[in-house]
Amino acid sequence: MSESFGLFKGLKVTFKELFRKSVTDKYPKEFREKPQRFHGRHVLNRYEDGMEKCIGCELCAGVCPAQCIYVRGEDNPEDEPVSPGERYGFIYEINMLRCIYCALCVEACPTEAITMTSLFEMSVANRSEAIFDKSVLVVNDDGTPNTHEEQTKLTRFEELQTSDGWMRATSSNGNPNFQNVVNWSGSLGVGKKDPEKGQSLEEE
Amino acid sequence: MSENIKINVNGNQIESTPNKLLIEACEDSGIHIPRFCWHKRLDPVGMCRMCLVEIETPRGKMLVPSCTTEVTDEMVVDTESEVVKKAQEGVLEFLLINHPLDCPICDKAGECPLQDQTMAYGPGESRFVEEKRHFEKPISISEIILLDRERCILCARCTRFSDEISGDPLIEFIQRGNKTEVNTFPNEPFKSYFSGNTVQICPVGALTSTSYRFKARPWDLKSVRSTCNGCPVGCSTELNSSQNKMLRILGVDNDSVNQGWLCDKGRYNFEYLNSEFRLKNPLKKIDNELKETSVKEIYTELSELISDRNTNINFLIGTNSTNEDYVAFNEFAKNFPTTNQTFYLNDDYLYAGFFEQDINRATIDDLNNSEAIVIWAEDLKENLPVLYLRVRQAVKNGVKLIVFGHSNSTLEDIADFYYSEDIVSENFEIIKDISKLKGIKEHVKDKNVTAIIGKSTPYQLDEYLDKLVSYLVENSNSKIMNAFSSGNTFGAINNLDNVKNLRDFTKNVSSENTDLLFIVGSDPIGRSVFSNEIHRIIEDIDNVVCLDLFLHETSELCNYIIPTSSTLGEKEGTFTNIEFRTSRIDKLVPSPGQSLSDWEFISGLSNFCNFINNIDSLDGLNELAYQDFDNQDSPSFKNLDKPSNFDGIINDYQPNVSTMPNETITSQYFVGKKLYGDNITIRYSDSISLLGAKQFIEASESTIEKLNLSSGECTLKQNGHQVSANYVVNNKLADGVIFIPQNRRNFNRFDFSETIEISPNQSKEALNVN
Repeated sequence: MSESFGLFKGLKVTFKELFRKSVTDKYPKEFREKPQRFHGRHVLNRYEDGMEKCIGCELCAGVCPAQCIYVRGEDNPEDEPVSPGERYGFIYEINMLRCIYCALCVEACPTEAITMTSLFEMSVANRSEAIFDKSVLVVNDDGTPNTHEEQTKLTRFEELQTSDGWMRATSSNGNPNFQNVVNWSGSLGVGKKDPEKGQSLEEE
Repeated sequence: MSENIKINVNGNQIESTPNKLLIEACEDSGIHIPRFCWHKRLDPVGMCRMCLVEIETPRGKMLVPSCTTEVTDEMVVDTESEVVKKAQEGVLEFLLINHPLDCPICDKAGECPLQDQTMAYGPGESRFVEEKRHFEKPISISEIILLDRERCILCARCTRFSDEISGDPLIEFIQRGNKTEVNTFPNEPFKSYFSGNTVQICPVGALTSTSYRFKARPWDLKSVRSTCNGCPVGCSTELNSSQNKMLRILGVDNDSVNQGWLCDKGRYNFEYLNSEFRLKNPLKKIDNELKETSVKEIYTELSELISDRNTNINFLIGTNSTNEDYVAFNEFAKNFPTTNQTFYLNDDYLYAGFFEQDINRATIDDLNNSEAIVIWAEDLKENLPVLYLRVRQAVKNGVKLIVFGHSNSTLEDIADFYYSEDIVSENFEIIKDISKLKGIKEHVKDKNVTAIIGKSTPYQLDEYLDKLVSYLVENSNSKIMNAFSSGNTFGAINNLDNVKNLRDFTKNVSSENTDLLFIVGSDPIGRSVFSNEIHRIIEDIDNVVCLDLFLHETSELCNYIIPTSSTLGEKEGTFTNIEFRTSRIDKLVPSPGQSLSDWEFISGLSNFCNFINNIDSLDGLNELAYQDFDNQDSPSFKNLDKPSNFDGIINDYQPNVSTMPNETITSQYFVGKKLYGDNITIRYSDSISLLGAKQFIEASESTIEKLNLSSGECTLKQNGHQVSANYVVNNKLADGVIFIPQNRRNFNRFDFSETIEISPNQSKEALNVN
């Protein structure tokens, strides 16, 4: 074997890789399609009449393994109720720096108030901005998630339109046959996802 | 005592005593039977049927409710058979038919017996698809209690408590069958001093309190066991907080003191801790204006004043401090010649009391174990509410009750003998020979007697109390309980030397003989009957240091104001109650701003003045307080922290009260305290602040006619000071007696030793004021 041949043998890998399709994306100019069950940031949903779904029951805060949720309930004002029923979420804060995106809060929620979106661009300039309160978490009047202004440049409009709603592992209304059934009730309807078949059905 | 009997539960032999309820016998042996309606302190009723168990009878196995079945010898019980399980599932399914599934917003969820027992014993799934029964969601049945009838499972705990224990049955079942609901009577709110207990014993969220409504969930509460320092009964409490805010107080079942109950003032008078008006920084008066300063600056100025140790220092000490605080003050005062310093306790009713060696001291449990109870004291229901419950309990157990004077008019209904008018005059003088009274002859002479003795009004003479007690001591096997009624009075008189009362303060203290006055956690101007004199004295004294939680009528007059930690949940220490039982006060929440404990401030001042300082730690103070006692039963922190001593340790103190006896009656009115008053803490506790706001006077119907009051309102006038008040008809008061509550707003500014002009107002209907 001559020494010069060895050089070409080594470069063969280089040339092969040179013409292979790149695995990286030109983010943020290009976006990659996210998996359907992607765990992004949370939103607090509303009913069709604009009422907030959150009743301030603190079950999400109780179940959170990272203890990043702080909720306080309060008596619903009689003349201008925030949510149906006696109680509403008066304070709702999530520390996004602490959150581990496990979605246990989504599972615990009795009213499907908190769900996860596929949004993940949440860079902030200081730590206190990373604590999302109700002004950020509650969805807009049209059902799209509220965003920090800086993020808007990074966020695709189509993504906002499909980000309300997330499939849960359990049915919130206690229906044991929830698989393949749309459980999403009384939501503003943005991004209502098709029911998944569930693992047992997909295998068939 | 009867022999123990043996019963067989689930195949195991357990021992019990006859006449015990089966559910109780099983509980004692560690076998839990689910239940909703049964409560240890209430009579059994068998409403909920959750405690069904199978017992063997001559006719075969049979389901019986274990809360209404007494154990018998050789009884064979099965609490876990298939039949029992089916019965429990059935009962729960029926209970849940109409119980709303609003657990996520219910205050009880997380500590709810219905939730817990449905998880443990209930059916897994609901078969009920129909619409549930609906009622208006929470209706307010008093200022502090809300009722949600949808959630009620008709266990009758609240109705039984009100009827049996507190004796004001204002909540009852109405309607029948499936329409049965619990409710109050029309136009009659649930105005009980003990209504908070029904919230605590409700097994569902049907009764909730306004102060805790939606504030937190049980799983994010921190809790400690503590002692209530509201009155000398010293009920055991559990304090709950979340996010460093006190949110709730629960009663703990201390068998020999409060048996789980609390009065509403003890339960709800905590919201002031979170008030925005709490003092946070030390203040100093410069040109009649209070300016923020530092503790160090105050220390510097005070040390200049007192470092030569010939300063005349007086202490006006409140009853809201811990024993350790009192020890700290006492040690500090030892740095000065004894002639130069005196302790005055912020209590109108304090007098020498009966603490001599030859007088037996009564414990609260003695009420149950004696043959008769003699009461001559302030209104127990208003001033020592849980002691009132224990008296009621004793009477229910057959103890005879003899009440002297018209101050305890709420006890008239259950008293066997109520000596008013003919026997005890309107000025609380005994005008007949005690030994000839029928009740005394029959039930007191040569019997076991427990007497609750105290002053009914600040103007009462000491003489007649002495007469009654010496009769009791000579002629019966008596035990005496001294009914002082404010806070940690017993801790103060044990740990301070030569305590005097407010009357002595007005007589002894003046600007000439006082260079420096310490006012500790007390507002005598706001609540004392000697308010005007004290105001004048404090205004005259040049240097007044005040340690308090708030700015109020007294602290506003002071030159230096130090913010302090509240004894309720903000500091550690010990508390001594009416039977000399010392128990633990514990800390749960931080105090705001630069607040200091009383002892911390005094210890710092000692250091600053280079005094001999043996009060530099809380443990040291605690040791100092109990150094005279045998190590084994001394209520030191070490002993009190043993689980067997959580209920407190009774010790034999020798209190040190040196008040001047009151020898002349100077008031024509019956002046007393009501449970809720215009105290600064109640004023800043939102949910109960209104309860102490109403101004009223009480008198019998004929007295009111004599005063020409025909309308509902009247005006009280004296020297230009004028208060408009309602009058309340109380026919249990003697003729001519007019009751004026000293702790309602603006009443403190009257001088009760002079005549107050009472004239009718424009017509309005008489209000029923509690």
